[in-house]
This record gives sequence, structure tokens and C-alpha cells, in this order.
Amino acid sequence: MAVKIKDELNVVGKSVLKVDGLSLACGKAKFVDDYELPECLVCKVMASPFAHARIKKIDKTRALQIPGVVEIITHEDIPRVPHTTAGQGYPEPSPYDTFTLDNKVRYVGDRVLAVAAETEEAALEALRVIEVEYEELEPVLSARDSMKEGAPVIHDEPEAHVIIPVPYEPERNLAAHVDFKIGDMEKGFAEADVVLEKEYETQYAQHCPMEPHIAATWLDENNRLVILTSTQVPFHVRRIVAERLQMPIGKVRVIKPRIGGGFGTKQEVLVEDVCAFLTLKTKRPVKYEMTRAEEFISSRTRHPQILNMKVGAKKDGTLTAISMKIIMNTGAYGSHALTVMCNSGSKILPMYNKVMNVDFCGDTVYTNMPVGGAYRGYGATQGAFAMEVIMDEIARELNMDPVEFRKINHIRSGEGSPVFAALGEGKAGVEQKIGSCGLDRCIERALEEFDWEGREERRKLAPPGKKRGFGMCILMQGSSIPEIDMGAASMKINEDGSFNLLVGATDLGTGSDTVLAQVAAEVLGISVDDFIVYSSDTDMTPFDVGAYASSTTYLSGYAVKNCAEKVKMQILKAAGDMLGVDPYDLTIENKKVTDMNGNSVTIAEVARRALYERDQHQIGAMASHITHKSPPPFAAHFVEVDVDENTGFAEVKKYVCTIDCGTAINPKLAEGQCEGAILNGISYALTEEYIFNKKGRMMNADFGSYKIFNTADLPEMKVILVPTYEETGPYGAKSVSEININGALPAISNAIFDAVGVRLRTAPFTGEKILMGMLGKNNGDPQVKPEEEAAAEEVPEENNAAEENNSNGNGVNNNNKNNGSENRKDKEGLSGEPASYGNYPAKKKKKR
Amino acid sequence: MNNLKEFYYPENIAEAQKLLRDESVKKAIIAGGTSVALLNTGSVEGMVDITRMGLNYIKQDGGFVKIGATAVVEELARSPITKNLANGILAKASSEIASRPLRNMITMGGNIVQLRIWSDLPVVLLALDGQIKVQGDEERTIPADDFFREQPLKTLAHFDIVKEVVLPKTPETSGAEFIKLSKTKGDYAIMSLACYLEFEEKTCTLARIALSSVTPLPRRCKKAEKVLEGKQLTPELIAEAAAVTREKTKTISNIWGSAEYKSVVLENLVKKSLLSCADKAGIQI
Amino acid sequence: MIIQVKINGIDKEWDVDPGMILLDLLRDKGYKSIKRGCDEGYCGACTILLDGQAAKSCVMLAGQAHKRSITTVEGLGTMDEPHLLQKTFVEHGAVQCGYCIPGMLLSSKALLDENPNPTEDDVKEAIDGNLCRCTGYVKQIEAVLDTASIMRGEN
Ligand SMILES: Cc1cc2nc3c(=O)[nH]c(=O)nc-3n(C[C@H](O)[C@H](O)[C@H](O)COP(=O)(O)OP(=O)(O)OC[C@H]3O[C@@H](n4cnc5c(N)ncnc54)[C@H](O)[C@@H]3O)c2cc1C
Ligand code: FES
Ligand code: FES
Repeated sequence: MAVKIKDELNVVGKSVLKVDGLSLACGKAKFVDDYELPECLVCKVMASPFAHARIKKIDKTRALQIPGVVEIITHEDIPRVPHTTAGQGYPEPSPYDTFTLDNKVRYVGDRVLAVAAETEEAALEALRVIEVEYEELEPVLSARDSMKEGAPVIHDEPEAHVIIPVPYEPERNLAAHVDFKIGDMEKGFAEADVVLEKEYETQYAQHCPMEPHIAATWLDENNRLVILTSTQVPFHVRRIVAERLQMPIGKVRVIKPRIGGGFGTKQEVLVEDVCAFLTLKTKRPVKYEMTRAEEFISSRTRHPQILNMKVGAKKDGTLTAISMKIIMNTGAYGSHALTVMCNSGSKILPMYNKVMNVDFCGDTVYTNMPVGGAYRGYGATQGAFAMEVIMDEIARELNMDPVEFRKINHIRSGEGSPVFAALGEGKAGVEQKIGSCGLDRCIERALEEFDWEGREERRKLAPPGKKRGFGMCILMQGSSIPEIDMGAASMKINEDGSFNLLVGATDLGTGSDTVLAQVAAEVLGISVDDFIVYSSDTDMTPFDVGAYASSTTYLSGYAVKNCAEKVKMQILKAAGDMLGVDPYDLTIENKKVTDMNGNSVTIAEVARRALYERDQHQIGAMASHITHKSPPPFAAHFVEVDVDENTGFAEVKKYVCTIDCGTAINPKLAEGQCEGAILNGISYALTEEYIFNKKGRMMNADFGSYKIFNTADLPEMKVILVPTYEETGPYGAKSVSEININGALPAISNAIFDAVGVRLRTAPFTGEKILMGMLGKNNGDPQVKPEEEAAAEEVPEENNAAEENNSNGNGVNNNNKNNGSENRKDKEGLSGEPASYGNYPAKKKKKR
Repeated sequence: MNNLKEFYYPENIAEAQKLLRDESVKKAIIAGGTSVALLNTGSVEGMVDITRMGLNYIKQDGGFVKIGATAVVEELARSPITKNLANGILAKASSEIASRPLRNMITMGGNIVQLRIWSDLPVVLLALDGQIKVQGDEERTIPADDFFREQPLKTLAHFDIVKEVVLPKTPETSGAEFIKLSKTKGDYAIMSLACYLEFEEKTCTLARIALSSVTPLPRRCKKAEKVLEGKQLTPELIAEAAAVTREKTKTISNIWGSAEYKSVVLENLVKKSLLSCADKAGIQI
Repeated sequence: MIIQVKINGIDKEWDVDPGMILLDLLRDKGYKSIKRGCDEGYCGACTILLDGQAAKSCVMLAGQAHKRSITTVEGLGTMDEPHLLQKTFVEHGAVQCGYCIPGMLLSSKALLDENPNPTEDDVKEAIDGNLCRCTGYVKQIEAVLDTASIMRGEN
């Protein structure tokens, strides 16, 4: 594939500084909580202490007497509107099974009611004294239990329904289903010399954006509802909240300021609706910020999956058949229930496109557990784990080098896969042939950089007490959802030649404001500094579906390019008038428009003339874009791992990632996306998991026991961009943000096997699992469901030394009794009642 | 509920004690505050900040290293004095606590008084025969073994102030090791171990094996120590001591791991650290 | 009670509830660069410099700050005159969402103040209390090392 020469371009392909970088580094850029709202009330939400229960009665009289408590809403106070929290294209493929507040709670952490008060202290006090009477129902605490005959029905309400024709059977806890078959499976397996069938399991995990979900709402001077919120999808928020409030969309304005990370969890409408209801009731501004514990328990998670893989291959390494069966746990609500599961197939199976016998069957089921949602990787993470580990297993069976084995089988430029058409997002997919594909080169570069050949030598260099192993995998993802998602931009010139660039696309820290400005600047021959980029405000910026599905650069970037080209034509036309030449004979470069004789006018002069002097008009345009393809970025990941023989702990020593994202519009920002995704992936593979007790309550809802990696855990990490040119993308660009979170699970699992011969098919790969495997007590199969395993691990009461003392000699009251679940008992000492569970940080009530 | 109304900044212990004994206002001690800030302080109305009384020293005094109660663990991690004491295991343990900003705040006294299942310093004090000086009605010295036998907050009176931790200097012919096992670096310990061996000629004259996080309170395994004392160490003997430690320790299951796993690792790591102690003492095994 | 603090070089006297969490107090007083990521001492978004040393303001009570000096990112540099660290962070692409950045900058500043010649491991140790979910820390470590070498006059 020809690589377009970068030198032709002035701004694209350069690591220009992030437009909001300095403001962020100076602490000036404003996040939701940094806005001062006069008279603002604090919202707190009571979370269900039970996994499955019906609310019988709520007595709020005592709470309403607390000074400062202004409003309490329960399911009795607001309309019952079924909807989905998933901010997806409309009509959404996710079932309408959620209510802002309901008379039933479906998981520990589900919303029970919301309080608005003058202070956080008063709001928390209200939660403490409100009496809620529950009728406990039998909970369903694993995906497999959910599918059993006679299992309790989680969505027994008549309103739960889907709005597009997709399989949905809430009466047997089925939230989504997809299957398809290509070719002849029996024949495929019959032709194989080796057939392997294995089961893999992935765990619950949370996105952990450093800024939790937060929204503030108020009524403006025209009585319109304004929502200031930390979201990836401002336009979906507007639609969904308007729908829930039964208000016209035109009465709602959504503003997205700076966002402290999202990774998918802010593709959900989780805080805006309660806030809005409280504002409508009280006519006052209301702010709701999730605590870190709520973020873990009550927001969204990565859907856990059980993946059954069956793969056949011939001795020469050709694959003959692949069967993939998925049971996905969506938790209590079906947010992204269909599409995440589809992606586990559609972003994974096409990689091995030579095999003509493929079947796929996915069931997404409800349980009384935390709710799944969009999470960077979006199903491909789970799928890649199963696929790339079984490919390693097959290669070993065949005595082939795993790299060589993949080279024989992976997809290449110009090729298609029947899976593209078979699996879409809620409807049939879109057929496509791969345009740009740098996977061959990615593999070659990685082999070199990692020194795969020299690995046997390096194995011997493992420190005493450690075993060293090497693993790899290859990956693909997509760029946007073809023929569903739309992005748009608008632009206008100011008299000094600067431009306002208004994009609906949502910069949530990713740098998209910068990347989009680069695209526009390239078209107009100016620099990024000439743009005032604004994202996003539903009153100001044109529509965009938002930041998800790896679409911003590829889709919204193209919209910006279209828009800039329109503006460029207008500038050339005006400049042509000024210079007395045909606009087509003009070039635009270096902030000037120049004719063939070298005469020129500056863009600022053009602007001034257009705005003040002659033939006055606003130079400006609006444009949008949809895509017909979702060109995959490709990547190869190689990893070196040391396993401690005493403890089983695996430590990643070196991680090499080569990535083809087409043209990297801003290489530094692209690398940053890769590095962040990789580290998140490693942390997910090695430590991140939800640990539940027998009642479905998460036991480790804080960063002290749900560990994400810090600098001390950082391996040597190398990211190499391998450029290609994607004809359908803006300046050849594809996506980069999601793909690299998918590699760590399979590559590390493969490396651990290489090191100590223990095959881990259940993530995360804890020291315990590895050591028990080394002792022959764990064959790697996901036999024990994490739920059960965790339940068995409940901390007995006497375990925490700190807990033993109820009265502290120094007078600090340390009366912590909380069923022995938390590591930091102290914070529980303050919350007292389990009923206010979801709200604990329940440390001391703050006086603000 | 936080009812704090006043902070006091005494300049010396006498003043601090006077404040604490005056019960017209209910008061409590605050040092680094990293636990207190997260606690329910109940009916306490006054906080006595003991960090401004000059108790943040780390010094040598004859055959002892003396550490003031409000010395922060970052200092313990860096001080040449702690680094040179007993193969620097106190410095090592300190450096593995939490993260840098917290290490700047957490005090020696707070860490041993607010005893947690994962507290890292108590094992070191147990292994190095630390003595804890407490100012109560009068000054008393409590050996670490006794101090950690129960939750210290239970045994200390509300006006008791931990003043100082004293550690004897260790002879040339000794070796010490500290090992912390945690999910990620700087995380809470799944297990902390500190071992100490002293030799005369080739004979092990003194052994201390201290462990924490796997049992409700930090403790020594004296049965295992007995296996080694008075003997010339061999790989078999060390393996036996490790096996005895495992056998005599009823490990607990919690969110950090199962009892079974911890038992296996305990044996492995005791073996590893004993070998390391011997090695550091210059004893070949 | 009245507490006296010197914040970003300016002496202040505040009448406060001494049991208030310092993070809440400082944000209330307008120092919005200090972020809240967990309220429990883990994430480091609330990092400040207390007498020049990095500290987490969410696990401190207001009373503990009495007569001490505090530095926040507001006191580090301005958009017009940024501190070198702020500049290099941006240049290295170390800032993504930026939520963790004020805390990380202060931890880095504390490091450079005491050690003008840090190794990569020193940097990793100095910022180990600042969680960042967007980046892989790679660019931040580079930025701190680069700042150090510029300050030493090497670049
Ligand atoms: C996020 C986080 C992670 C942590 N990780 C670890 C870890 O991995 N390993 C580890 O060992 N520790 C760790 N700690 C520290 C530990 O949990 C305690 O917070 C700390 O040891 C308390 O010390 P402090 O100086 O802050 O005490 P404070 O919070 O000030 O006081 C704690 C208690 O001790 C009493 N007290 C303090 N000093 C004295 C004294 N001199 N005399 C009498 N009573 C006194 C106080 O009255 C109070 O009851 C962590 C803390 C946090 C916040
Ligand atoms: S908010 Fe202070 S460490 Fe997270
Ligand atoms: S840049 Fe987003 S958390 Fe660090």
C-alpha cells in the first residue's frame, strides 16, 4: 500500500500541541465540578442493598424534616418511562428496560430514590433516615443460573421491550441473541487434523475514569433545562433525557465541558436524568457527582463473557472451521446487550478470513449483578482473548511458531470476510473489503523490535526464582459504525482570519478537538492556532453521535474536512474577486491565497472584506458525514513476562505494540491513545476484577482493592506507528483509540503458558491462579465461576485487626461492623446503615 | 458524624498530655491524619496534633536506633540510619507503603497504633525486637511482641502517647529480610514477612520470623524459630522452618486470596527470606 | 477556628471548621485545580504540596494545614507564564483528559526541587501516587526527565 508522502502535508501528521493542553496543565480548564452554580443543591442517590427486591414502601417523612433537605423523589413521584441508558444511534438496539426510578431493584447498587439538599451532609443524613421496606426476591447471580429453567425473572414488568426487531425474551432473562452460520461446520471439522474446543471467561471490570460521572442541571432564563455533564454523547443525552422527562427536545440544552476520561462509561445516561427531575421539582440548580464507590457499583462495567471456542486446523496450519459461542452477562439492565456481544464476533472473526466454515452464537442474559456497558474495546476485548489464546493453543498443537501460524491465516488488504455482512450493530452488517492493512508490516516491525528470534537467549536471563515467557497476538477493530453513525461540524470565519470550529464530536481527553482542528487547518492552509475549537453544546454545535465506536477521527474528521472544503471554496471565491482571477487558479497556503502570478491576499483580508467591505456575507459552512465502511486498524502485540515461582505473580517486563491506524493525524496523541489502552489492558489482565459476596454485593469498590496500575507497575513499553493510507478516511486516517486494549489478555496469557506451562483461560491472571496451576490445582479452565469463587472468599469477621477494636483508646470511634467485607473498615464506621450502601464512601459527612 | 471544633498544636509531650487529660472537651490524637481523616470521629471535639513536638527524629544512640513517633515513613525509607540498620529492612518496608504523597504523611506512630491487617511496619518491629516507648501516667517501654498481641488502640489509654520506637543495632553476623507480597506495587500487603537471623561462628543463635496480613494480628512464629536456633543451618533445616511456619499459621481467606494460596506462599517466602538472611550474614548454606 | 496558611505564597487567614477535609476546603476557596477522584487517598488527583512535599489533601483535615505552606497548580505557573513542567507536559503529549495532571505536576515539582538529576526510577517513584487512566505514564515520565535536563541547562 502506497504511503502518501507526509511532506505534502503541513499540519496533518505533525504532533502539534493539544489545543486545551496548557489550560489543563495550568488547572484552568473547567470540568463540571469546577463551575460555581449559585444556590445549587446536592443530589444523592440511595442505592439498593439487595440484588433483587421489590420496594414495598418508602417513608420519607423523617427525612423531609431534616434541615436542608429540599426534595426527595421516588418512583411514585415521576413518570414511568421505559428507556435504555445506552447512548447509541436511534432507534437503539438496546432494550428499553430501565426506569429512572422503579418499584423494583435489580442489583446491589440499583437506584432506589434521590434526594436534593442544601448540603451533602443533609442529603446523606436523609438517606440514612429514609425507611424503605423491601420484599426480597431470589437473586440470579451468574449468567449460567440466569439461563436455567425456572430462574427468577429479572424483568417481569410488562413495559420492557425492544424498539427494533431483534430477539428479546425477558421472560427467560434473555436480553439479546444473535447467531449465524457460514459454510459447513461438520465438513470443516472433519477436514481438520487438530480440533480444539476450549472455554474462556472474562471478568467484570470498570473504566475508572479519574473524574467520576457528574452532572449539574438548572433552568435558564427562558425556563429551558440546561444540563452540564461529563458525557461522551451530548446529543444522545439530550434525546434520552427529554424522552424521560417527556419534554420537547428543543427545551433541553446539553453542555459538555472538559471531561476527565470516559472510556465508554460516559456513553451512558446515568446521572443527568435524576438531576433534571430534581431541578424541575425544585426549580433550582442540582448537582450529582458519583462517589468512586458508586462509580464501581452503580455505573457501568465491562460485560463478563463465557466464550466457548472450537477451532479446527490442518497440519500445514490452514484453519478449517471456527465456532464461537458466547454467553454474555449484561447484569440487571441490557445496556449495549446486543451490540457488545455482536462485536465480540464481528471484530474478531474476520481476522481469520480464510476459513470458510464459521458459526457464531451469542446469548446475552440478565442477572442481578452490576450492569455492563460500552467499554473501550467493546466486546472485541473479550473476543480477542478467546480467539488469540486458542490460536496459540492450536499453533502449539501443530508445533508451529505462533507468529508463522498467524501469518498463514490473517486477513490482508483487498480481502473481505463474510462476517462483515453477517454481523452488524442491531441490523445486518455492511459488506466491506479491507482497504488499508499494515498487519504484515506490523508483525515484521514487532518481531524486530521485540527480538522474537532471540527469545530463547533471553529466557535464560530470567532472575533466580523467576521463569520468563513470551507471548503475542494480533488484533483488529473498526472505525465508526457504518451507515448508522453521523458526525457534523460547522465553521465560520472571524475578521482576523481566525475560525470558530464547532464540532458535536466529544473530546473527553482524547485530543479530538486538536485532531479535528488539524484536519481543518490542513484544508485551509492555516495552523491549528487559527481555530477556536468548541465541543460540544447542543445549542451551538451541530449534531454528532458522540465519542464512541472509534469514530471521531474517521467519521467526524471527515465531516470537518467536508466543512473546511466548503469554507475553502468560499474563501477562494472571495479572494478571486479581490485578485480578479478565477477561484480555480488560486492556491491557499500559509494563511494566504495566492494566484499564479504570485499576487496574494491574506485570509484575514478576505475575511474583513467579506464581513465589512464588499458583497458582505458570512464565510462559513456546515457539513456532515456518514461512512459506508468501518476500516479496521490493525495491531500486533508482543509481551515478555516473568513469573515468580514462589508466589505465582506474573510481571510484564516488556510490551511492544505496532499499530496501523492509517495516517496518524497527530502521532504523539495517537501514541498516547495506544499507551493508555495498553496499560489499561495489562492492568485488566493481571489484577482488575469485581469480587462479589454471596449476595451479589461488590466487595472491592475502591482503588485500594480494585487495583489499577500506577508508575511503579509500568513495564518497558514501546509503541510503533506503522502508517498506511486509508482511502476512505480523512487524510488516510483510521481509528486508534480502542484496539490496543484488546491485546494484553491474550498476549499475557500466552506468555504465562510459555513461561510456566499453565494455560489461563479465566482472567485476571492472579498470582493465585498461576501458582495453583503450577501446583497442578488449576488446569486453567473456567470451572469456578468468579462469583462463586469470590463468595467463598468472604472475609470472616475476626480477620481485620482494625475491626476488633470498637472503642479506640484515643477516643476515635472505630465501630466498624460491616459484615467483614471492606478492607478499609473505617469508612463504613460512618455509614452505619446498609441501606445507604451505594453512597458510602460514607465516610464522615462532609461539611461543605 | 464529625463534631470537631478545635485543633491543638502542643509543643511538647507534657503539653499534649495535659490537653488530652483535660476532659472538658473530648479530644484525640492526630499524627499524619491519613486514617483519622477517613474515620468517624464521633463525639470527639478536639484534635491534638502531635506532629509539631519535635518527635520526628531518627537517630543513633549508643547501641540503639531511636525513631520519634511522628517521623514519616518516607524519612524512614531514606534515612542513612535506617538504611544501615539490619540490612535496611525498615527502610525497605517503609518504601513499599502506599505511594509517595502518603509516605510523606504517614507516621511511624500512626502506622503501629492504627494497626491494620495490612500494616507493614509491625512485622519489622517484631523481627528486630523493637521496643515501643509510651508516655502514659509514666513512661513505659513495651516490647513489640506485647504491643501487637492485641489491637494497640484497645490497650492504650486515651492520653497515652507513643513517643518513640527503639531498635537495637544488629551485629555484623546477622541478616535480615523483609518481603511484601501485594497485587500491585504500593498496594496493601497480601502478606508481609520479616525474618532475622543471628549467628555465632556458623551456628544460628537467634531467629525471628514475623508475619502479617495472613493472620488477624501480626505475629512471630516461635515454633519455627526454635527449629533454627542453636543449629548450623542447612537447606533442609530452613525448609523445615518454613514448613513449620506454614503448619502453625492459620491463614485467612479474604478478597486478597484464599487461605490455601497464602499458606503455600508463606512457606515459599519464609524459605526465601531465611536463605537471604543467612546469605546477608555471610553464612553459606 | 481560625487557621493561617500560606497558599501559593500568599498568607491567608481562614475561619474554618477544622474537621473539614482539606480538599473540600481548598476547592471551596476557589482552588479548583485540585481535583477529586476518590476521596480516599488512592488516586492522587487531590495532591498538593505541603511545605514543599507532595501530600494528598483528601486524607487531611483542615486543622492540619494551620501554619503551613501550600502550593497548588494555580501557584505553579499561569497560561501566560507556565512553569517549565507545565510546558513540557504539553509538549510531550503527556496531557490527555488532564484530570490527573495538576496532581502529577505537583508530585513532579517536589521531585525536581529535591533532586535536579532524577533517574527514570526516581520519576516513577515520585509520581506513583498519581493514578492516570488515559495515558500509559510513558509521556509523563519523559516530560519530567526532559524538564529536569532543561533545568540543568542540558537542552
Ligand atoms: C490510601 C492509603 C494506603 C495505605 N497503604 C498502606 C500500606 O500499604 N501499608 C501500611 O502499612 N500503611 C498504609 N497506609 C497507612 C495506614 O493505613 C494508616 O493510615 C497510617 O499508618 C496511619 O498513620 P498516621 O500517621 O496518618 O496516623 P493518624 O491517622 O494520624 O492516626 C491513626 C490513629 O493512631 C493514633 N495515633 C497516631 N499517632 C499516635 C501516637 N504517637 N500515639 C498514640 N496514638 C497515635 C491516632 O489517634 C489515630 O487513632 C495507607 C493509608 C492510606 C490512606
Ligand atoms: S481524591 Fe485524594 S487521593 Fe483521590
Ligand atoms: S490524563 Fe486523564 S487521567 Fe491522566
